[in-house]
Amino acid sequence: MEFYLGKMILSLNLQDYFTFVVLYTAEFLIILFFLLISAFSADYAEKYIFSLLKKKNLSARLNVCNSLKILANSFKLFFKEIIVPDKSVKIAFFLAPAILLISVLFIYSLIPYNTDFCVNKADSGLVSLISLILLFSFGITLGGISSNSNFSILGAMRHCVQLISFSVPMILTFMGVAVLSSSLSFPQIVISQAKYDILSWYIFPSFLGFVVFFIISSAIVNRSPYNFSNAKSELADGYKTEYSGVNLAIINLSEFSLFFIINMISVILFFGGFLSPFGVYVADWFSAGSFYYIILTVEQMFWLFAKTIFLIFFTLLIQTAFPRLKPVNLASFSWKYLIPVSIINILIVCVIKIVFGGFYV
Amino acid sequence: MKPICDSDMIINIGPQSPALYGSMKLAIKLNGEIIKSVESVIGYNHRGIEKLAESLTYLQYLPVVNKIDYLSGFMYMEAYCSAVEKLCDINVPERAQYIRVMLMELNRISSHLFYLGVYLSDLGSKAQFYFAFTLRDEILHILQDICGQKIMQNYFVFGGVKHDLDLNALNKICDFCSSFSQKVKELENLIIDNPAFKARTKGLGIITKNKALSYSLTGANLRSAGINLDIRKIKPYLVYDALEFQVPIDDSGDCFSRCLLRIREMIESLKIIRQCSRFLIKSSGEYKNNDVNPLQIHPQSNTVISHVESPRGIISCTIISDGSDKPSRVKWRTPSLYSIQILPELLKNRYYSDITAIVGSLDIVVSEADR
Repeated sequence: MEFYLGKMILSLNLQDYFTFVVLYTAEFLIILFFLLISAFSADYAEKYIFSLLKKKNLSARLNVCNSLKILANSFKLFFKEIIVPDKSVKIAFFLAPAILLISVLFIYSLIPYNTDFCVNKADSGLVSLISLILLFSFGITLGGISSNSNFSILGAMRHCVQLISFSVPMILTFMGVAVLSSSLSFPQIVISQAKYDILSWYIFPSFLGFVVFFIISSAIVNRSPYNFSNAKSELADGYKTEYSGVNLAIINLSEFSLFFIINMISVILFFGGFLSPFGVYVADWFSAGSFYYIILTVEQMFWLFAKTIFLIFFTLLIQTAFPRLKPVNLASFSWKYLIPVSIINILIVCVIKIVFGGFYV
Repeated sequence: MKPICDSDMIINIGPQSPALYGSMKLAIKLNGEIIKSVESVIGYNHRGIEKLAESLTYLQYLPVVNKIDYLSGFMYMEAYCSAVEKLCDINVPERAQYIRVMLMELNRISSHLFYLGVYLSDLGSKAQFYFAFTLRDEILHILQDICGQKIMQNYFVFGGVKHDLDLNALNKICDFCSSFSQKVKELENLIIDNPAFKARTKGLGIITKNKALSYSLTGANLRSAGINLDIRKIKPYLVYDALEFQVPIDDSGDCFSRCLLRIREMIESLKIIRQCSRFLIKSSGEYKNNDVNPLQIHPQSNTVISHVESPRGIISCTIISDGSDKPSRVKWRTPSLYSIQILPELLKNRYYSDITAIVGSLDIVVSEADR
């Protein structure tokens, strides 16, 4: 897609630096569009699951037109008054939402949406991802501490406990994937799962890694059962208690989109990303040409989003059925069980890599 | 910014907090995440219900009574009606007694479902909340069909009930009983067998026998500490001595056992409702004492007291009468007041995140404590 955009713009015969600017602006807008779509669909999925639990027929309220209300509500927040608490650290208070949104946008730029379109094809994809997730946590902590409220400070401190609990197992599971694919870049990780279709997905060799990442992912995005830092019944709204107006909209947007993107990352790492599970595409019936590429692009994006939404469905089911744990519980659970399990996962993965080396490209 | 670890941090939970059922404040002194001391402040919901009785006649005060507790209106109606009936020597026909018992047990189930739903929602899980509230809606619809209201029913009168139950309503109740016995097992699976719920509540907020007695706790909070005290068994009112049911007891006294006992109590209440509905379908009789005109009752100058086992504990209503048409004093004993008093002792030296687990497990209704 990037290739096609680039070719289109180059065919206009503009000057080089102008092409560069237009290209990257277009890519930025596309990513922003993905971010908004994913945040809204995560919100929609949550509401849908709750309507299932209520056993009430909400088809009148949960249709496509009404789901645009989410858009309207968040747009409305842009016109609300911004209330800044007295004695807050002003710079940090306004910087925190920006850090959250920027870190999420950068994570979106790392994702390979299909064979061509990946804005940041960096060789250090996984390392960048780790640093961006830690940057997101830094934004939360900064926002909590700077807003000069007891609830916010407790929320920020709790997030720090969460951070030291989830970061180590997260990195260890990434190591398992890196060993399997012999690469740190996301496009390479996806392509290396293509050889034998569904059999070469990394869910099979590093199943333990997937389980660990699945547990940890709700801690990364502050959601139940690990939503300590914005526990409504304990801490009002946790680290974002004092935020209002557009700042709150940005924080909520980046939280929802991070929730979506974490599931998308686990799809990319363990479920073959944009690859079709059957190894065949509808586009194969057409001869190569621009029509073929358009169909293939749409199809690959469909698989990526379909797998992600499928995973989100299970995540939400688990999140609704379990009460919140204590911060102490997560720390002890992480250090006693998750870290040993993820180290065992690395050993298993190494053995598989040595024995069936040719299976994974 | 204040340093966190050097000095204590004071946090006010409430008066408007999602963790508390009603307007109440907990002033908490924290050191890190550990609670050093707690002060519970009530009175935001005070409506002067006891004082109101002195300016109203016996009948005028009747609709005020079920506004003391929005979750168990029937219990308060029963406590007041039976006190007035004792005062004026009014007999209640057997059919009316059975109707009253059945409705009170339905109310007990709906109150416990509210408790379970809100408790689990406070702990952070939504599925149980929606499950319990869908079940509670069914009961409220039945009550609406019978009384015309979902919460503030105002259905009992001196010497009976306002109007008779028809067969349609009884059939609805029977249908509910048969479906609920299945659903309550599902609810038990969702709550009691939930590993995260166990991790949050087991061994937390332990109330020993002595502590429970010294704070004069009643209801499931007392029975979870291993003391078998149920007014329905010890001092049976209405037709409870003719009915077969058990009082579930546990001796661990923690948050988990308090929740468990309330689920068991719902199953026992279901037994009572079945017996009552069986009796009401077979028998026919007066649904109220026709000799009594509620507008003209003649109380003796006397002091009477009546006790009722509510979902939260023992309610007692004391009426001091001077023979006139207005009571000279009405005193209510409401169980939530005593549950609030034990909070500072239970919360001390606990983690901050234990607050919702402990406060929620005691089943506090603040409007009841404030009156």
